[in-house]
Amino acid sequence: MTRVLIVDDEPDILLMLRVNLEADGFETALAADGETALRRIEEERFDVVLLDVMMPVMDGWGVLQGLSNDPAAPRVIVVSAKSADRDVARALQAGAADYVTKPFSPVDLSDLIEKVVGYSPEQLAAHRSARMGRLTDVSA
Amino acid sequence: MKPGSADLAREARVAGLRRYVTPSLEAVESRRAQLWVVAFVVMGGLSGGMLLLTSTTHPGGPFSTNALRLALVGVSVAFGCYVMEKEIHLRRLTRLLVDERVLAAALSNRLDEMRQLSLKESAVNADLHLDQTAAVVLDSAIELLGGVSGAMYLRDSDGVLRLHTTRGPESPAAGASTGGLVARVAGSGDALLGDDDDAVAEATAGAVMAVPLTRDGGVDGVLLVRRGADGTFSEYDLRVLARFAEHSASAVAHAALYEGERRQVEELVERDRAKSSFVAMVSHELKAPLAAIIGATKTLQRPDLPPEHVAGFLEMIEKQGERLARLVEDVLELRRAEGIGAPEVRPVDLAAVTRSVCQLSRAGGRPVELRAPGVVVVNADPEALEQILLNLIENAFIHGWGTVEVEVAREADTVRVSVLDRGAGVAPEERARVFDPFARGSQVGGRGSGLGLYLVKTLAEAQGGTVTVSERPGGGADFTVRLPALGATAEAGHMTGADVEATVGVQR
Repeated sequence: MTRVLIVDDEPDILLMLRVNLEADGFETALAADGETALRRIEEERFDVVLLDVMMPVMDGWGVLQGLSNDPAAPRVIVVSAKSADRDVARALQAGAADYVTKPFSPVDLSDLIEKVVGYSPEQLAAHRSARMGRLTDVSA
Repeated sequence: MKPGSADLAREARVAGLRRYVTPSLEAVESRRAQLWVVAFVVMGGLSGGMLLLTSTTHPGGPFSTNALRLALVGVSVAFGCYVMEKEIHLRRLTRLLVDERVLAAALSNRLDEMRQLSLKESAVNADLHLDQTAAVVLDSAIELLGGVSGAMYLRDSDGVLRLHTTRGPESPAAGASTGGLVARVAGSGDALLGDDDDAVAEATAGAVMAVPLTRDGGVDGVLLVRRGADGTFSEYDLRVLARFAEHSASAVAHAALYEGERRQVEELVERDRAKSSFVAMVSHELKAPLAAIIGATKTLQRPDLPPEHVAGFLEMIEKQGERLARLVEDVLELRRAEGIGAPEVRPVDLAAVTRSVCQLSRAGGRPVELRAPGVVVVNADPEALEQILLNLIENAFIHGWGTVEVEVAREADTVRVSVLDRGAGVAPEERARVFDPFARGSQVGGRGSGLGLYLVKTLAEAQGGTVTVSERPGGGADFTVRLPALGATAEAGHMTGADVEATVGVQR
């Protein structure tokens, strides 16, 4: 079963994602900040991490940084209200598999998780560069 | 030894150049030429007389030839001495004048260097820093006069003379006190040597002098140079410094002007940046409840949603919708706060406003304990005051527990209203940020809109006030708003609404 770690500081988003993902057959775990997320990733096995960017204690950038040197790290989909191309580019460069901007459809998110989990490393790299190619303004 | 102007004047007087305060080199040369012409004529006459005496005899005259010869030799020697003495003084005068010319040339070279420097800088950086210019001027002045320390005082935008730059062991208050050297120079616009009283007043040994930096007839600043314990300054040194200051004043004034404009531009840029970042933050904050609402709606539309979740998601939509509405309301309120200007500010009884807000709060089930004097008049917008108090009280109830206390008191020339809670307080490192928009600290999933305290700050500042947060003795937070006071505090009942209106009449 695909295990998903949902990281967001907004309790309602955590609840909403959990209900949807579990209805779609995923197993979920929750974290409300970056530090807790990193600890859980270290202790347990996850296939995908849904990662918010703006969080207290440690933000999403910190989590991506913490996972960057771990070849066995789960694949990360950033889910953020930040919608600027440069934020998307930054996340993809920091190792994220994809980037979803809030507000989003939870059903589409389930499809994306399936896709990302199913990719071979080469397919994932192609997916990321295709995603990167759709960005227009990536200046910092 | 540096030549002084007193020496110059004395030499000039002795050399017969009485009309000149500062004789020119040319005048000295022509005086020498005159002297030698007269010397040749007189010596020629005397020699002629001697020859005549030797060749002819005057038997029977009242004086013997020998006596006349002696007298002539005596006169010649005396005249020779006179000429030599004048010549010595004229030579000394020439030397002094050449010294001064060299000094003036050095001065003008230094000023040229400075001008080049500032031109170069303005060309390269399009930037003229007041601090740098002041430092260059002060360093040059100290070096030129062989001083050990110095200071530059400049008038700030309020017209108050303030210490701007110091070099060496210069006490910050040096001479700036009333009647002090700097104050006297600024008052009179004259270059002055420090007297013994200055040394006594500042408890410093050594010589000091100060010259004004004038522009358009006004004193923009004062330049002060000091020598060590055994040093002295002469009138001549003072003149050199004054001349130097004359040339430097415009450079300093330009830099000051530029600095003021630069600061204004920076302020505008900063305000613009703050506004853009605020818009970015607000749109981000709008997305958070929207994401929950849209997500919850999509979830409710799922045919496979377990029915026990329906009520929870409906509640989520309602709660997040309200949060959205509150946020929009606060943003609108902020826009209004930014528009508060002087015309909407009028004398208000802060104590009365606070009483009514506290009553409102109690009616809403939030017990507030109020300590306030009868009447405290401030210049403010009553609606803004209400908003400030409501937000602070709401904040206290969100983060604290038990009864919230509100205190109104008059301080020296401000009026203070404090909202005190018994919560966890605000950590010292978070105090600076707590009034920033959407700064919810380490709190997870903020309950407020994230704009409440920012709104308080904006409203307080729009009315010429401030807001601060500090640790409440015994634990909890102390949010205090200070506003400029108007009129005196009256005991309850002593001042009525009519009195407040009367105060208005007097004030206007």
